[in-house]
Amino acid sequence: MPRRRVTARPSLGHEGSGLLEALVALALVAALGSALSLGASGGIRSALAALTAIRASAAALRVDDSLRRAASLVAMPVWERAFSPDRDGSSLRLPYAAGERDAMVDISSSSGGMVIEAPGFRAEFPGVVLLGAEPFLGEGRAAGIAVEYRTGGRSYRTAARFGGVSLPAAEGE
Amino acid sequence: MDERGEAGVAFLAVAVFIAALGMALALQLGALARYEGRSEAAYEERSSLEREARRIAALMAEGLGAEADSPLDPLWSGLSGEAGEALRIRDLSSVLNPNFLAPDLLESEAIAEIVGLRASAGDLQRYREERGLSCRLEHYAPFFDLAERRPLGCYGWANINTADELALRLVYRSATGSEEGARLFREKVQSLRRLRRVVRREELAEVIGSTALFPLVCAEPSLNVNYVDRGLALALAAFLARGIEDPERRCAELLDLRSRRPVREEDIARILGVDPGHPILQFLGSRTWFWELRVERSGLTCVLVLARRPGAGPMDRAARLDIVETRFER
Repeated sequence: MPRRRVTARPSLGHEGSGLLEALVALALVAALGSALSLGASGGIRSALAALTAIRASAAALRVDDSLRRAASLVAMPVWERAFSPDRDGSSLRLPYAAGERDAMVDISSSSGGMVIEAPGFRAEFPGVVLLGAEPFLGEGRAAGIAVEYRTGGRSYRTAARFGGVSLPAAEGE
Repeated sequence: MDERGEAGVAFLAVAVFIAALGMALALQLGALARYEGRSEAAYEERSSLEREARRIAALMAEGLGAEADSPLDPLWSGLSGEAGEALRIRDLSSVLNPNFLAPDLLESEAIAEIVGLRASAGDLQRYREERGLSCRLEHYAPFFDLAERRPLGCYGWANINTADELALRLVYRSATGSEEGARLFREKVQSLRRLRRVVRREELAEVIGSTALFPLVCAEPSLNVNYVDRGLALALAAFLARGIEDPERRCAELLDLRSRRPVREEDIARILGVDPGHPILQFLGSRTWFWELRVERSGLTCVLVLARRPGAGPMDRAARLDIVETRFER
């Protein structure tokens, strides 16, 4: 009588249960993982955007401070009514830095950003784009500079007064 | 490691990254807030101090004496800062102005010594032509020994009778932008000098023609005898003594008077014993044309330079003071 061959295979019930558990676990991990990565990438994007915005605001504040400092160095004599700055594209050169006709305050673009320069003072702002600069008038004479610049995708405008200005024309002049 | 273990590590890594990013964000945000706060506080501090300085300047314009500016003017004791700010007011224009100094004045050894001249008057003229005029005394450091305090300063109107003719041409060009007009104006000044004609304030409009030039060029004496350096006034009197008997004694008498009461314009001519056309009256007057007002609060000082326009009308009307310089010092 042939003997029945006995094999050591696990029962069908145990084998099916292990596979199912693994599949469920994998699905759960995948679902959790994708939810986590979606949330995390959104969060990371927002955080990076916030960091960029903060850096841009900080850069804009520093540009604003430097422009005010540079403008305050411009000291025109009272009789200087024929004042005319040198322009080159968006750049501007202002005479009378520290009261010297031939000493300049320069506001210009460089390959990497914006540069503000005056005797004894230089500030560079990488990533800041100079959009334009022009003198503004007060009481009919050049009284300061208005500068527009962009950083972090936002545009800013600073209006800074000169340290010294010419005498305004009298009424009727 | 099984799948759950790997997922746990990945989760932890992402969590640590997000936490680090959050911390960096918080730190940067904090730094920006502090920087912005400091900037705004500094801006507010300056603005409020400047408002106070402008308020005091307006009170000065209303209260300046009718006939003379003097340290004895009751106006000064009535001025005070609203929040106890320290005030300092200084006459800036009762000094010789290197922008306009004419070579003939520097022929006086006494005057040259008082101003610490260390180059020739011709060199000074050439320097002005090449480098222009300036409102900063340091511009003239190569020509004067500025290590000591000197009766020199760069604020003032150019007197048509006393200023160097080349400097007058430069002022004309700066005021109008016209090179040709400046050349013609210089020729006019040269012919006035040849004729030894002293232009009086009532003749000025006719002589200078261009209204853009007034009061930058005027016929007002630049030095207020109530404030001028005593040594300089005596040296000027001695040098311009034409027709004056014992000029230094008379000038000393004038300077003594200023400690008792404000010296007025008519006192100057009377005590010096000169007629109204005398050249010394183109230097010595009773008005201060430029003032420096310093207002200090908590270590920050707002400095205003105020320019007074010579009036075309009666002297007793309220002075108009224009702010021509604003700066802050800490």
